[in-house]
Amino acid sequence: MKKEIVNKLKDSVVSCDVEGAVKTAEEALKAGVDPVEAIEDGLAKGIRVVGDRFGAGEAFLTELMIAAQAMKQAMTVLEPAISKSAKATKKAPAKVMIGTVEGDIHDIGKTIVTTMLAVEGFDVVDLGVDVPVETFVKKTIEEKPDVVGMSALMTTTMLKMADVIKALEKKGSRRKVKVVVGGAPTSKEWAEEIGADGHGGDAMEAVKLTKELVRAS
Amino acid sequence: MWGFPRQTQKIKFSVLSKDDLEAIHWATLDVLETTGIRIHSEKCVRILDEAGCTVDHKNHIVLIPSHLVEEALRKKSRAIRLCARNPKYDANLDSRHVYITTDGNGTQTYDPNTGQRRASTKDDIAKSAIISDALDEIHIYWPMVSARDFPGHIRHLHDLEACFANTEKHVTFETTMRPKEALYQIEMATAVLGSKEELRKRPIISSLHCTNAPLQLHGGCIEAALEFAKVGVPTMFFGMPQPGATGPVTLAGSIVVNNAEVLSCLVIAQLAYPGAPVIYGAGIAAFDLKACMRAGGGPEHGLTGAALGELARYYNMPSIVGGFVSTAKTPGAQATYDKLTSGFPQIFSGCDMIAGIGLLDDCTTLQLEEIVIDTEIVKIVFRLAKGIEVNDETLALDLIRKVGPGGNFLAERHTLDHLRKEHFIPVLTDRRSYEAWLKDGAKDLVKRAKEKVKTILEKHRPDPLEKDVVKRIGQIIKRANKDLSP
Repeated sequence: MKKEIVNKLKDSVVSCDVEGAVKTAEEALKAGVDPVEAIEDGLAKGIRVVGDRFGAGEAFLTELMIAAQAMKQAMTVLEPAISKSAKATKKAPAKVMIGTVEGDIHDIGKTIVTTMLAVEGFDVVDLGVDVPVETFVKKTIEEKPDVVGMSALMTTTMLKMADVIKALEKKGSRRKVKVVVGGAPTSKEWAEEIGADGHGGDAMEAVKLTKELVRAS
Repeated sequence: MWGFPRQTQKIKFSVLSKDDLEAIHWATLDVLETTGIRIHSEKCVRILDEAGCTVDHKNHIVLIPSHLVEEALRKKSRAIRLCARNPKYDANLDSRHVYITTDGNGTQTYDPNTGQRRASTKDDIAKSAIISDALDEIHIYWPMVSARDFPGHIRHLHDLEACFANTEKHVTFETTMRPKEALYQIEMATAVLGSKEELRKRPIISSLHCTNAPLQLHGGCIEAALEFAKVGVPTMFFGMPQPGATGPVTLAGSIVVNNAEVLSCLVIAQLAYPGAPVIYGAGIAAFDLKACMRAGGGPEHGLTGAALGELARYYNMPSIVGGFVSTAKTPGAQATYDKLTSGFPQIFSGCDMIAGIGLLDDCTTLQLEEIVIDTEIVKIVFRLAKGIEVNDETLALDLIRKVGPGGNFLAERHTLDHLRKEHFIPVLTDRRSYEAWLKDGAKDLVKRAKEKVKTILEKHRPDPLEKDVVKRIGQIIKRANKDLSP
């Protein structure tokens, strides 16, 4: 019975059924399913299935994002039920802070990367668009992310990426984080030129790169 | 299985006006009455003679009065269903759908292993049939090449055997030049279905017969067609005048020649077997007067194909036209633009069947990759032809309000619900980032198509024929081997 409910959680994520996921999460708590198990063997496994299908070019981004919504909303039901001791033993996920640089209001690429990082289990802090250099620096000091990601769609605004890196160096924060860049005009060469740690050519690559950098640090 | 829906409402597209159609019809009647058709068949000439045609026996020329043409157009059956071994693939030629047919009768193949061009084999038919069976966008299979590893007198029976064994879809062919050979092909189809009655009810084969421009009919070819008509197997009469060589250089003039040839066949078939299911065919591609070759991939082929589809509809007949053809020798830029331009007007016009995908070098050479590349092109054109749907659901006002300025539509249920209908979903087309493309081996279109072909051939297994059917077909071919031997 409990196993069935956990499987149902997984299936509702796979089938992008947001309401179903929330309802099943409530059902799980009533039936006495361990919330950690419900998340790890149910929701997380479900999102992995959709993520893999997306990676293989079989699923659409929309499916991945709605499945992520289903997971997230079911989590809000399950998380408060996790016992303090279980919370304490759980390893905190790596944190990624991300934003579109100053002067640039292009949102979509960054939003896609944000979703996919969340799907992969990262704790993502999204600073939004048109983020001033100072905000990047201030937030880096406050949030202590493992990785800082910057996005730009224009050749004129991508220059701000270099400014952020310089400002981080000035504050002595550069060494404490990995910095990655992305967006249409950017390239591997550009990342090297401004002293970033990597470049993601698309959302998939950005996620892969982030995972590698976190693992290496 | 339904074909792609014909677009009748959204994007207005026609090559010929109603006046044009009538002018072509009258011109054709004039040709049939005053110039006539040369028919190398005593049987067919006798049928026409008895019906009241004027016959010049010495020159085998028959003048067909217009009332016989009008009568034949009334007698023919309009409803034609091209049935399939697996009924889910039945193709209903209802003038509301467009069915994609593989190109056929090639003689050469680029060997999948060596890449070298060589004479085509039975195995090439098997492989191309499996690929066509696997692709939803292909509705009808025409043996794409001939089994040249078998002697000529039974070659096309081996073609047919390879089709039945490797696709569950309808099989059409264009190879029968002798009535006796037709009987064996009918027997093979009967072996698959169980009885002749069943074949009449569910014709899993159809036979295409080319006329011989200008204004001639090959005796054996047309007599073979009559054998098919006799048992209710749909026949297609397919004109191929080449403007500038075997038809007037003007497209309208060549359309008239094509029409006279096809209508004369229709008259013969309806006199012999009233109500026989006949499909109107045409593949009018210019004759290139410099290269001295047929320009199958030229824009003229697209225009005439669309025009003949419209003419067939004017006659209330289903049509099969050439399209998505190319004279390029290898896949690539020319093949792609040739195929696009020689194929899209037929889709916009809504021809019932379009044949041409998968072969290169003007319908002569098979390259397996080209089948999947052309399927992609066809899908793109259908998306174009479908146009833009405007209604409450597609205007999405509620959704726009919900998302608001600065939001996005990525994770909306509306996006998921309409995505497949609204967007062309590529299979081969590369839209990835430069880095992702590079990392994946910087593969060009042909390499990506090669991988798709490999996957299909590894994974796809059409339902095999029953063992006793295989045995019976084997026996039929064995008998034919003796009987048809020259």
